[in-house]
Amino acid sequence: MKSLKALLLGSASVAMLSLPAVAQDDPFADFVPVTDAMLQNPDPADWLMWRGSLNHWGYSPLDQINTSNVGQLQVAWSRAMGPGLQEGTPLVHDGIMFVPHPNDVVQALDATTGDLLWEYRRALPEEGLPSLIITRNVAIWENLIVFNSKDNYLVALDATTGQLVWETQVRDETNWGISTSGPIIANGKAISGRSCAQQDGPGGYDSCFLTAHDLTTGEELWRFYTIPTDGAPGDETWGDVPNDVRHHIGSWITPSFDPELNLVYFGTSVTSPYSKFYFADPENLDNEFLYQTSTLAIDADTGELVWYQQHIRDQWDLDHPFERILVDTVVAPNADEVRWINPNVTPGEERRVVTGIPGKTGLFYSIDRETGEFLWARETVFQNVVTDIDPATGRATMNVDLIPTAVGEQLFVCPSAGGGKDWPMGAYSPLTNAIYYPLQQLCMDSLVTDTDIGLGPIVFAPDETNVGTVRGISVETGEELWLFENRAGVTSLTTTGGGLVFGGDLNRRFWAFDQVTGEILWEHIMPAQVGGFTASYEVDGVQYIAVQIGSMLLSGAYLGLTPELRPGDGGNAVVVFALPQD
Amino acid sequence: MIRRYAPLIAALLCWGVAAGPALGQMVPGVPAIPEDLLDFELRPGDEIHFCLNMSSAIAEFDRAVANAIADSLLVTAEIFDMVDVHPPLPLDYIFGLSPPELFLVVTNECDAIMGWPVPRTGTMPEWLTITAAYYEAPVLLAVRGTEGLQPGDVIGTRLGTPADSQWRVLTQSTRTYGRLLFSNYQRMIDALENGDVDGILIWEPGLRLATGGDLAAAGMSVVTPPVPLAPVRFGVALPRNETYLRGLIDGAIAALVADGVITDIARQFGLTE
Repeated sequence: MKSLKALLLGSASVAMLSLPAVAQDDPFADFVPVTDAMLQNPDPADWLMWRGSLNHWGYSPLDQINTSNVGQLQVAWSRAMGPGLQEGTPLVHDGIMFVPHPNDVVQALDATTGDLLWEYRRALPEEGLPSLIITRNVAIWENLIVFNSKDNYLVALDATTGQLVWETQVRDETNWGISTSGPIIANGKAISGRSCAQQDGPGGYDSCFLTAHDLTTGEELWRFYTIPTDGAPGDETWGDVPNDVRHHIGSWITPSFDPELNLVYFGTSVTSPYSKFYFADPENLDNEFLYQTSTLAIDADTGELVWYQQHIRDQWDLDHPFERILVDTVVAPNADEVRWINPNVTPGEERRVVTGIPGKTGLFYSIDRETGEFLWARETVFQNVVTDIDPATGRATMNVDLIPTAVGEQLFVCPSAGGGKDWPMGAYSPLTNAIYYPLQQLCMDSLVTDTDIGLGPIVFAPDETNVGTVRGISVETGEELWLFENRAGVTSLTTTGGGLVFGGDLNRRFWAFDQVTGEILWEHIMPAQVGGFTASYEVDGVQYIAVQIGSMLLSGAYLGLTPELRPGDGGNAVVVFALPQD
Repeated sequence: MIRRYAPLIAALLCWGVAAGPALGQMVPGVPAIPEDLLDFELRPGDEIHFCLNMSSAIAEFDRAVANAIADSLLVTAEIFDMVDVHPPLPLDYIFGLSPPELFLVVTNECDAIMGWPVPRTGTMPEWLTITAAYYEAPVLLAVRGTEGLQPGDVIGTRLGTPADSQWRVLTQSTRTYGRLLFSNYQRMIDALENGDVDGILIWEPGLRLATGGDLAAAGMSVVTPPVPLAPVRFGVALPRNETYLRGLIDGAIAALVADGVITDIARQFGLTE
């Protein structure tokens, strides 16, 4: 019999390790602590946070690599990573790369060679942590590397040594939950959300919350509960549903932050069970059940809710936690393509918007990020859960034919619980004022059981034979600029000042698209699925493109529809490209 | 053999289509675990490796049944205890481990999982098959004192159970009784004792374990429900390709049920009269 130990992620029971740098010139001698001012106006040579900037653009202004020379791109270095689900993002500062591995392992590498400078392995309990051992990102502030650990601590490491500086327990074992994403840094505070207890798990509504921690001390500053109870605003939207069965509305993607408005933008997930008919009276099935599937604008200093906009009223596990992209733009939606436009929008006016695709439906929204006013929305991939949106308020009309009413019903729901959109992220380019999205063309045949609605099997959307698409959509007009279709599922994208969109798929292809035309200008075949995120940075005048590769959570769901594609599993690594330097 | 399970799993990408515990970041699908981590072959030797859900209130009953199944097949039961770091839900039979964790355990540590609730409306993870039920636990309507139900009485139910599903249909169609949802059987018992509800729907082993088997001493009694409540039925789950072993276990279960052995074991553990 094979030992289960062989299946562990390598760090489950090992002691906490922090390996020092090999004796040589101290690579951290000139390390400059990362201030809030630097985070709010990042040096283009750095990639200081998950999506490169607080506004979640996923954009590097660097342009040494551009549409005219990207065809010459070649591997500069690569380095194997530990096993586990690969959804990670490297950070880079002053020529040092900080790489999050699965299982709460963090490494500091020389960003020009991949040589190890230090490594931190968290000592995790031997028993019973959730299996979602994903770490999408760490954060950097002053001389700290900060992340949410799998044992539910907020952890701060010394960025120059990997030594633990402080750790704060966020949640104990009586409340189920996982943190797969790291915090955003907002003026000395680490602000983050997390997943929380499902209907049969330990814990309840009080396991679902957003937090801010003081980065100097690790002290918790505020906590906002994403399921209102006991007369709090929004409690009434649950009708007579007892607190005891209010579960699971979490926020499992890093929020964005607007320093001028001092607002943090979170997205939320769904209830458990997903379908409300299990716990609500028939007349209340379509209640809001706040704050499911919403955008929340939270005061960064106080944790108070400033406004919210609920996107749908879910019954099918169609989460809405994804990246909230902040753009200042002219708003002039083209009614030929944009189905829902607020009549109060004056075409050509400037707005500060939170925009993009916040949820699995693939619906693209533009919302005034100061007031929460709905501006416009359009469809992208095929969906059948929203039949209409009130253009004045943004309130969706849900497809009543897809709301479960009895055990045994079979429902064809689009998109699937894996999207449409899922955690693979889009990227904005100021060069085109457009966002580029990786979206999948999938639906699900769902059976309503005694426990919940089933989430599969996943099938192609009607008339589709390709899983993946990449679409460019104008933030100003809502027009679709171009569409790329791909047999395999596509993953996260990053844009650059060189007019490029970098991204890959589950069939090991990694591409550079032309932002304007969508033409593939360069392709590299990787040794593994392109599961993680791409970053760009510069050291000694050389621009690099770095991507973390390996299998990710959605691999099985997407590849199940393309059996002829057999890219293999695992193979986690960070791969870095540059132009020839001779 | 008793071992503890550390479910830090390397390569669980997703799992089968059953409507299982909700995890916002999860999606269904065929489990995609690297082949070199999997071992679908039956373990060699004269042993059947059973996994035991240690979060279940009837785990020790399941252990005894596993041993009885093995005895009847003239083999040895090797038992792997699946322990979750989280405290189990009291008086419950829900698995503490998630479906992908269960998948890896059944693939690598055991041939069969004891204590799997047989779904009333037919979904199982794609990678599993299930034997005939070896135990049916009745679902009872327990009330305070000895009075029967009165119109307007509020009944506590456990969300996500077939009994709750049946009660929901009844209350919504007749409006004769109320329904108050709980996520935890112990809280239901407490609510009955406190007078927050007039009755509760609970599987018999849970009620007997909560009351030490003496309902009268606990100030409760069981009354006939207005609709027949589907029992909770437990079978043995196996990897779908294990048709030969499933046949053996099905045969053993049929014999043990017919001979009254399993009823005797249930009585021994105080799960029934």
